[in-house]
Amino acid sequence: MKKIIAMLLALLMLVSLMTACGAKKEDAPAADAPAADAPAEAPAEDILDTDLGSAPVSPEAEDAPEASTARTDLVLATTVPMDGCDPHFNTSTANGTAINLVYETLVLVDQQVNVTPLLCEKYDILEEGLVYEYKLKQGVKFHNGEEMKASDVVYSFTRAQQAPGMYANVALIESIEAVDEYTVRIKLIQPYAPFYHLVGNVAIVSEKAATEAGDAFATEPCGTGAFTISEWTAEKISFTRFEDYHGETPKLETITVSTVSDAATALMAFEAGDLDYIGVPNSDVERLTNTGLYNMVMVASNNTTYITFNNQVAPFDDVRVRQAIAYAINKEEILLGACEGYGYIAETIGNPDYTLGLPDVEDVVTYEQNLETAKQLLAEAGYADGLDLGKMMVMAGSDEFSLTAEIMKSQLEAVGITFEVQLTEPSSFVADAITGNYGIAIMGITLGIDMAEHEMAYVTAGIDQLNLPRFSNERVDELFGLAMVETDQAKRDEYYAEVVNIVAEQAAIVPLSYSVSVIAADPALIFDPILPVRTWYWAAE
Amino acid sequence: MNNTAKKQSQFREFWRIFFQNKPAVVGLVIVILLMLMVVFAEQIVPEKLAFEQHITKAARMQPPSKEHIFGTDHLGRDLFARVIHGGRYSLTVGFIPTIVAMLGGMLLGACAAYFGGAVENLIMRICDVFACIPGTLLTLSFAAVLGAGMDNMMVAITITAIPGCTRFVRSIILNIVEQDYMEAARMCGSSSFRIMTRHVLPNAMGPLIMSTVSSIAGMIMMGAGLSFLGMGVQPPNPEWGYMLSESRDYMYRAPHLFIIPGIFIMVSILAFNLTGDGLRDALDPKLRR
Amino acid sequence: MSKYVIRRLLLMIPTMIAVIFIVFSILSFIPGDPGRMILGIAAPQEAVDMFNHNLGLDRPFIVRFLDYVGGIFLRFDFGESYRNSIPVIDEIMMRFPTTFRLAVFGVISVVILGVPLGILAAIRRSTITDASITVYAMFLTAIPGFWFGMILMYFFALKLKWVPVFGVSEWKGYILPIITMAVPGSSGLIRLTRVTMLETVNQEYIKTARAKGAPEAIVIWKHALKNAVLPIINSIGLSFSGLLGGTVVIETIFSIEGIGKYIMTSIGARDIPAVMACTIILAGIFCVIVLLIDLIYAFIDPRIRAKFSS
Repeated sequence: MKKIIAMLLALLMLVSLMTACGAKKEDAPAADAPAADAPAEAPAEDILDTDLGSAPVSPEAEDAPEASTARTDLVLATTVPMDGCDPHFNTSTANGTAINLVYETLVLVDQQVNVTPLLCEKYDILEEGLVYEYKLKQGVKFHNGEEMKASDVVYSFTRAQQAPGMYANVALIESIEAVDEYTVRIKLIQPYAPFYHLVGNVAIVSEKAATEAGDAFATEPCGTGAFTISEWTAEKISFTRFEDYHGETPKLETITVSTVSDAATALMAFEAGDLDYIGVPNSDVERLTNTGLYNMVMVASNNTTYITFNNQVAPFDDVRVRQAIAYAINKEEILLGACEGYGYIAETIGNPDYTLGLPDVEDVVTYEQNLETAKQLLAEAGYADGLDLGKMMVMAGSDEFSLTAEIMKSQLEAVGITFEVQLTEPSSFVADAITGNYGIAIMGITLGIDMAEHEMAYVTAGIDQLNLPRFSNERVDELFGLAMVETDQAKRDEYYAEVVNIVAEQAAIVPLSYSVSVIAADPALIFDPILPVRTWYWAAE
Repeated sequence: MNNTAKKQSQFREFWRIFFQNKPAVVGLVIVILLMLMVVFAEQIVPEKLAFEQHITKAARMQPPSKEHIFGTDHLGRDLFARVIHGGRYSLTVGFIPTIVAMLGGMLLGACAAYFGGAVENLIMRICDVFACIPGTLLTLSFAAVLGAGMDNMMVAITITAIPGCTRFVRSIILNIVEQDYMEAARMCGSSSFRIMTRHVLPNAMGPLIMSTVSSIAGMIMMGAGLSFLGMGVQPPNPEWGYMLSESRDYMYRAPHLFIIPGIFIMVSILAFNLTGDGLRDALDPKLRR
Repeated sequence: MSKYVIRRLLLMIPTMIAVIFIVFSILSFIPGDPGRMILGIAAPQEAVDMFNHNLGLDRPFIVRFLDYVGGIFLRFDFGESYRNSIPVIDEIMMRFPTTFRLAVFGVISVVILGVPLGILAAIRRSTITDASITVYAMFLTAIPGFWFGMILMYFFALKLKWVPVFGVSEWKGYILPIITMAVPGSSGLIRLTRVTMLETVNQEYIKTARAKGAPEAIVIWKHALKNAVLPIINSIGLSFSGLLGGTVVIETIFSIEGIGKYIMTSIGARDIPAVMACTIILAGIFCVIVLLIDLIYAFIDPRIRAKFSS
């Protein structure tokens, strides 16, 4: 008996020692590239998410001769580990970086929603918006050496139709067919103006590789992008330049993305020189700027922080109450306290600079802080003696929202309104918001780059889905219907402007600010944060 | 010697040993001070100061000064006020789950020991199953089900702690039951119930109280940790663990926001541990020279 | 004896099924459906329904539970993660070695830091040594782990650059996390060792040994320690299994991809197969550790061995 126990103990020790040794062996071939930061901050979607929308402008710097002293590696960071590179079935924003490096789409859409051909030479819109015909670029190689043909495009779109994550992009497609080896024709069920840029969300994959890999395709990707994946663990993922890339060869040879789950840790790593590029938490921006050591760039985004009311529930069903709250708050104070001043005051959901169809802030109904008006409205609504809003639901995970709530608390107290903050975990928050199980809430959201994609947020049919304020207005429903089939962009802009103004007059929601990311980078890195990573490079030493 | 007199001298003996243990005495003093701080928080500093914000560059994140003894936080609130009133939240999170879990454990443990047989088996099996589940996972899951908030967090912590307390209480009771004087009681013909209430429970009180006091320390730490991770106390309510979590973003700029609540957590846990250890040393005859 | 072991192993099965049932039920009560959580708030309802249907989430509870249990026992299939359709086993195996290493080295460090100091305190009871060790242990217990970790990281990684700031791709990356776990963690073992040694040292047989003229060292090592070691082993075993599942905070601060963090993010994302698989594996390991501890007890203490064999 003793012997058996002794053996078991010895085995346990042996196993732990072996795994320790195993660790050392794995570590040896690890890339020793110095780390660079990727935006680790919450507000903006992963910066590189906007890559698919960037125009292929060559970097301004003169085409310097290949200086042999310039670095050719880049190390970024991500807060959530990248676990898959399937461009259609992917559900995690963290994987966007990898997908954007490995795959490409028919067209490139930049932040201002300008569309330029990428994998196609040109495209035509036929039959009054019902048919889209793409002439493909010839000689484009996939990573497996095969040439991209129309059949691959057809396959890619068909595959995307099976993916829940691609639904919004491909829902209106009736058929996709290969007219000849390099021409693809997509027919829609009905004309839909936004399709010309939605098509830029569907990556083109190699039919051969995808069918061979089957379920493993997420870890064995094959696209036309400028980089391929050379190493992949939970801790980091490495990319190498694809030498047969159809476009301009990138100057970078390797890119490494390390997983650093904690923003404070990532910042330390950046300052220690382990990362080259990082999204800086608002509270550290001033300190980093004062060191004078880094290149600091501010990047705006389409993410909006806002207050949402449940318009169907008292007291928020009374427009005067909603407007009183809008008049009582001071957005500048909130911006300073919650975001250290980094952001822009918002009057709409979605940043007008980055959303097609959204009117500029000057053209929208706004509410300047006016405590007297607020008190008057409250009195009219019957709350001259004060109003208790009950619980305010605040999304947990980002300090910005809880800080906003705390600041609002004192601002509203000045007009006699009180409430209790309830920090809610994101999953529960989303569940409650959608079912209308709340009265007032603070959250952030990024809607599409085209107002057409915002439809569900404002129409009656969107209640119990994206219409979190449960707002219902006949004219708004009508306007969205008109805009959906209208092909003249100017007319569509008019419709959407009217929608936004109705929503603002009714104070169905109160937008607070547009998020801004501050990027810090090694000064030797030449980059434009809204251009694809493949255009970045290092200055010669 | 009759029972009361015996108990009195035991009592005195107990305290004599306790007071010889200097660190334990210090601990007890601090515990009493903390409790006074909780009860008289409003008198020490008005609560509204803990919530009053001043969001101007001049007022935010000021280091300790004459006007603000501990300085101000990132929203311009007085840190001293927040820390004092924060004690109410942090210590409550330490006390209530511990006591409720102990009571629950006592009930279930006593039942298990008293009834024995199938009842004991059932209770202990359920406790075993819960013991297998990683504690963090259980607490996080309950917290997710119940939602955020201090009350819900306390419920989650309590539920997670009850199985452990049950086993502990049962083992103490079984320990006592095996002692010789129990034989004597049984031979005197006392009924089981009488034995349980007259002899077992009073003797179990000692180890139970000591264990409760020590657990409070652990609970304070757990509450701070959970608040640090994001579940638990709601802003703008002050709670030391949550204040630590808030202050991480400002670690470089305003270290006092990070250091001071941390010190208070440390001191509280230290005090309860010292007291608990002192109680144990005084109770346990095997530890005496 | 072997009959006892087999009986214990068999008993594990109903325990595990109970564990599965309890956790599965709790998770079912959490509000929010995975489709909506994973696709996001802006996703069209049709997409969410498609996603949920693909995962079989629209079936009733009993069907899903039995399907799950059946999958485990008949096919060893723990399902695929809701978030990325990768088999959960693969996800866990990617992270488990790291956490396992942290736990093993953590426990070893705790023993090295804790036991000798505890013995020392017990031997020199009521002297300055004892008092200072006790106070030191007290302080250690009180330090919040996350606080300690961040301070260490600030000095040693950022300022001195002796170790990397994050990750464990090189062995140096393990140093700070293990210190952060071991130093505060050793306090419990110091106190436990001290108390157990004191209890033992006062027993009759020790006095007898001393009276017989045995050298003090023998008294300590052979007699006292041998009896004191049982509760210590108990503590070590439980610490180990606690560390396997409870390193969330350490992993968060040091950006280590381990099981603790995986559990937390999975609960947040309502990724039920992931949470279930972690639970089952950790619970299983816990049961095995408890069994091992009991066996070790039997190994060391003949009285217990006799009880088990009967």
